[in-house]
Amino acid sequence: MKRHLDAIEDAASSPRPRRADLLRLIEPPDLSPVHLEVHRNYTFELIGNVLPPFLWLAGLKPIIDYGAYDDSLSLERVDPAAVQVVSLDFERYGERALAKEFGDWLASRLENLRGRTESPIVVSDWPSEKRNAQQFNLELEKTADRLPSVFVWNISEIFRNMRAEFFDERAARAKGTQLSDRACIELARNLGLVRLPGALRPRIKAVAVDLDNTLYDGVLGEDNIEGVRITAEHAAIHKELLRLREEGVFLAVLSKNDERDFAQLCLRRSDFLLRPEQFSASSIGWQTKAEGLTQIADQLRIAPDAILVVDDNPGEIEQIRAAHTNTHLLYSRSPAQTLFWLRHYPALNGYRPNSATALRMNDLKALRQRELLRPSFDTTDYLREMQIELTYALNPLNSRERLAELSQKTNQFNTGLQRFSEVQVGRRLEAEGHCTISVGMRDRFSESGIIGAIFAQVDGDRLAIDEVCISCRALGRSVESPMIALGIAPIIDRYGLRDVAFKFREGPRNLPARTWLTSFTGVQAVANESVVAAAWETIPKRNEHLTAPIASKWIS
Amino acid sequence: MTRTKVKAAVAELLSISVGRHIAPAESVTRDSEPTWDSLKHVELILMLEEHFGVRFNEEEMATLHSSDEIVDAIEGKSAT
Repeated sequence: MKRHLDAIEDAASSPRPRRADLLRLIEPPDLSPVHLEVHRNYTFELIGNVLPPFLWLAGLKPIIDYGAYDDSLSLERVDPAAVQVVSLDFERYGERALAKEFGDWLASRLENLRGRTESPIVVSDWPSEKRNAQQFNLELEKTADRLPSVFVWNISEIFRNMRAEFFDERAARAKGTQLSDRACIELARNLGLVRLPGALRPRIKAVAVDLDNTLYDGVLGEDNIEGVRITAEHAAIHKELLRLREEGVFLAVLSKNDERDFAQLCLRRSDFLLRPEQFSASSIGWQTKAEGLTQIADQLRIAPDAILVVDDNPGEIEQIRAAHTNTHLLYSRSPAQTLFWLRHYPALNGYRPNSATALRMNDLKALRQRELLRPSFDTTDYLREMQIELTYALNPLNSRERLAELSQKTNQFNTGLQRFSEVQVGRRLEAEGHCTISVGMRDRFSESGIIGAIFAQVDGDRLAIDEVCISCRALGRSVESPMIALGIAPIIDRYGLRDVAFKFREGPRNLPARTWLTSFTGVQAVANESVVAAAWETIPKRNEHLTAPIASKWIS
Repeated sequence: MTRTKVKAAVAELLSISVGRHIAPAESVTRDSEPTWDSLKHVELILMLEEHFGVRFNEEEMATLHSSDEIVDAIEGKSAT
């Protein structure tokens, strides 16, 4: 089985994958089926037929439904699918495509599609050197930013890299596309490894790298600092890791080495482009890699399955796999392979930089300072000392993506476990009677950004709260009850409501939410799939929560 | 490349296209293979071009109706 997967990885990471090699590969077992619906006006099948091996590496088995060739993008049929792919050959529209109205037309078609399905929409841009095409692509990006869960598949970038090899107009009529065979394969590779997993899978939050024979050639403990070799490919790996960090992915070191040697390497080798402070977590020592990974996950406050481990030792890779079944593992067979997979590993490269993770990096630094402060004070004094400031917004349209991210990714403090998609959040933000509240937080140590969300609706004289989620970064500061009370109190006042009712659904890790719900409402037995209701006036310690030493403000 | 080797490679690529094993000695036509549709034909041509380092124009693509015609065409291109 492992050799079978190796063969797929080899074909997928080849500098020039060949159609025959890809079509010869045998599908691995235990894949999750994923239904794709393709709206197109050219022979997308030449891409779609070689898409499966790339998606297999993301654990997905594509079932592709092709719409009719349709220049008008009439969207006569929109079936339920995990992803809607819109890919048009814009050259077919001739002069019409050069007009500004053409961009407006595509935007309106995407709006139409958005209104008919909740699944992510992936739309390819225009691969052309024409100036109007570049303007068109900018407008397309704006449309995608405006509409929930619409992602631009910028094939123009692949076009720029391939240039003359991208098109093959010879026999275009027989093929039904001007794309060359090589372009079709590159597009399938990009779609299968990067774009579709980026739209379908939770993004990997951290990369934990080994040192010896991974970030340089040689063994630090044997070859010494001056003896390890840093090639151009290693430098490219360093730069790639820094790019990922810029995009919000945590970096960590997971190595059997002496921590002082690593610090000296960073200090004395100017060609080693990474610095200790760029790593948000580390496990450098002689414990097992599996233990080290647990430590890194704890330091980063994320689950091990949100981490990609890069290591040159197959034995240690297997040891980690045995202890952490769902951790992402990248066997660093060669610098070229490592570089390729850092650029293409499924769900490592998303569509947009994750700004929340940049804030999380600062929060992690602040965590230690908060922990030092805590034992010296009781809760009220601790809150006062922390100088916490909460910022609330009601139905904030510009925070749609972050609110959906909180709903999708929070695991410990989510009461309803509703997992709202970005499209669903967008609808709630605009629906009458719905109150969606974002909560931003800062304290004396860091700005945390939006760390909480309350999804509620007014139901008679009751505030029905479908979901409360608070990021794990905000937990442990004794702030949950005041945060939620201060968020819902103005809504209750404004509508003259009597009760609050929380939906509760049990998940594998949301015990903190259940414990909080009992403490906040005073309802002792919180059952799975239940509604926990209490009169607002009888909420225990309600006034204490509302008068906690926390600054709060509402923004519009 | 000998005709035997060309026939073996064509049979292998044709097997991938039509989804069943085709022996090098077997003679196959588009009419006899229900799965050898126009899309599979295009994909087969792309694989042949890649494998043999040859190029077919649109007219040639349309005239290749059987495994034998494909072998002949490749031999013809290799000879020139």
